[in-house]
Amino acid sequence: AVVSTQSTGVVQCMEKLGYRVGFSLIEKATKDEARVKEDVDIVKYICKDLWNMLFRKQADNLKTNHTGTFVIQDNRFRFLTRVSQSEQYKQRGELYVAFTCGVVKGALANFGLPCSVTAEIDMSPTVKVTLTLQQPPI
Amino acid sequence: MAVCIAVLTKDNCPLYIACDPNEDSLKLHFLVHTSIDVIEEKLNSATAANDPRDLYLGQLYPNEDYRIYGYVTNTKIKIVVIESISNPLKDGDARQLFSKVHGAYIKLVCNPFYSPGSPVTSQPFLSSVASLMRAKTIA
Repeated sequence: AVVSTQSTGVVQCMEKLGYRVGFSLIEKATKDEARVKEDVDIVKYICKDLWNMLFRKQADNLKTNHTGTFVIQDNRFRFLTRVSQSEQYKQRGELYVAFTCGVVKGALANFGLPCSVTAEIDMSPTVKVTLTLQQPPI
Repeated sequence: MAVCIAVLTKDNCPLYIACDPNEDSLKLHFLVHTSIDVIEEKLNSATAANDPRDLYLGQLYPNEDYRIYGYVTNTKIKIVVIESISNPLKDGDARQLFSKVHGAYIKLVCNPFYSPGSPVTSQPFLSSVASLMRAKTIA
């Protein structure tokens, strides 16, 4: 398990790249779509359409506590299906999820919902992405 | 022929405004600014009789010299087009015009050298908006 400043720098770099990609992707993808109104609809769009665009499958589960926190669960996260499931690679798994977190953050930012995005890998390849909206929905 | 095409960010800051050089640009800028209120009102009206899922907002408000049309994208970018009354656009043409401006904006955002919200200096965007303004009929 390597937790050095070098690896956190890499994670931040990947997130920044993902942010820009997510931002542009949403701009392009929502061009001819009907207007998406509610915050929940926006998050559902992320789970279905954005996940489809990135991984050719939809997210498996979406949970919310109705106060601005959503958890998207993907049981077969594309970037981790080929990684061995032993403990020692869990830390490295973070790097693979960082880009996706950035994409989700950028996508939500372009929809007008600034938020913080974190990911947990309890049991690879299941990944849970947690979105915390900065302004809780009214 | 459009007299003015304006692109506004989600915070209602002008990202890019192009006016016909023969017209009074200050007046056109002012009209764009006043149309922001009308757009916000249309977006927030809960009892929208017209299709609330549509991105195109149609004619915003009547004015003796100009017709003003609005369009809001899913990412809260507002596009305002002002036409002179002597040459009004048909509904289908207006939608196509907005679609093309939206397309030019998307290409601008996808450019990794452009950071969103900063002043626009991209040549392809500027020239495609300029040609849309000059076009008498939208192909």
